[in-house]
Amino acid sequence: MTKPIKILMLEDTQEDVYLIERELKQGGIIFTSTVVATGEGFKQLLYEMKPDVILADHSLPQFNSIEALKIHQQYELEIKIAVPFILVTGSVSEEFAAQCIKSGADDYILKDRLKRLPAAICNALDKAGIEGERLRFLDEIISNEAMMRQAEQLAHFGSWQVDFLTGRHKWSDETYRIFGYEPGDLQVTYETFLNHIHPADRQSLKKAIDETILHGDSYPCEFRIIDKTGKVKHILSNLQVKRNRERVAIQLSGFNLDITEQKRQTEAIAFQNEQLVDIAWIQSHEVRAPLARLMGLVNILEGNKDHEKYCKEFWKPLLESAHELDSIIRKIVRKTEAVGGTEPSHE
Amino acid sequence: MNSLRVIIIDDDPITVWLHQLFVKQSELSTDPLVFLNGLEALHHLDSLDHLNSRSLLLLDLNMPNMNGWEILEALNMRSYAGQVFAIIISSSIDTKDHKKAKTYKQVIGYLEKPIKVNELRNVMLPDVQA
Repeated sequence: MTKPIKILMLEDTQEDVYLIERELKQGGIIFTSTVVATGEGFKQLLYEMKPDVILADHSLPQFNSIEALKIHQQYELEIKIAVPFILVTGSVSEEFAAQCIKSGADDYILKDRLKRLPAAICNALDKAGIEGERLRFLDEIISNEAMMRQAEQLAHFGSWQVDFLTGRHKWSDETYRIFGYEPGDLQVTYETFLNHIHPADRQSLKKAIDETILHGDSYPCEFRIIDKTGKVKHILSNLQVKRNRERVAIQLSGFNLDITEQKRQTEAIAFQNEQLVDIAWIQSHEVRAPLARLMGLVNILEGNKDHEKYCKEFWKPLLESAHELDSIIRKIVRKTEAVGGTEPSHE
Repeated sequence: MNSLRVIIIDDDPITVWLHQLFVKQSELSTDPLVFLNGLEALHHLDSLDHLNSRSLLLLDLNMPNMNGWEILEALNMRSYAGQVFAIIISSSIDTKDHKKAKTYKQVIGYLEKPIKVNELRNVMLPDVQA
């Protein structure tokens, strides 16, 4: 058995309530109904009972259907569900009826033609189901898009698209930021993009893009850009071509990932490695030279009985070797300190 | 015939002085030749008559201008290459240098500085081929 339809009736005449309910029963509608006659009560019940359908008389002593429609619209926006609003009223002018539909009413029924009411309710409920879907779908798209925007911003990851049929270029918010603009700052073109490419990379990238559009499907690449403020950035990118059935390119899209920071870190590490290799070389070659000399000299002293004679001859080379060893060790210390620093400093 | 000529090649005067002392003490030669520069040593070798004598180089590796490896490379091209032998005497304890030294046919030994007199006494040149 289907669940009864919850009906909220805005009506001040008990007799009309009776007539409407009788008509619904005859039309085979299974329902529960709640009647309210004031604006306050209408608003409260709307949020409490969450009706499936609203049937409203046009004019009540202190309230009217235009006011009710405003409350109803606000309610729909808040709960993101469409609730049909059907005007059930005595004779009104055509203009007024049109005005009500414009204000968001789904249908209107004259009280002397209540026979149409059951069908109108069924119709409106069907329509509301579709409308509800649309509202939820839209809501989902909006929240997905918000997530995507946030992800792009966090990862310095911008996407873009070129439609060859319309010639329109579209940049995501983060793509604008990577190029140094605020989102939507300017209407972008292919020239905008090319003008920001580092002159040393421009020709080769342009050629590669042309090649990809003509013959390729996708093209991963790395290039430098100069953003609006003159800052050079390293970009990792991938182009993708969409083709129609005749294999003609209709769309080019891609992403730009700002890898400037990673690049800087990699370079700093490469510099450190270079320094470490240097230090290792110095240790195995340069440090050993004066040390070996010192050891050689001492060896001779040790093996010789004629100390007096040799000591005079040896003190100078011994001292020289010691000083040389000292200066090499100082050089290593300086290099090691440079490795600790973040920026490569060239002597 | 077949006298042995000992040539010390090292850019460091103190080391050269030490090695001269050792060569004499080891009786390898009473009068070793000395070069502080690889290129000069090579020029001198070029000017010698190698028919009835052999040369033994006590060769340092790490030298400015022309280092020990470059001297060995150059020797390889010479017509008298078979009459010249070399003992590498280096302060390097890098095993890569040891391995590399073995790839040169002139190299008959590898000594790490500081060397000892005994190490020079034990030097054996390959037999002269008939």
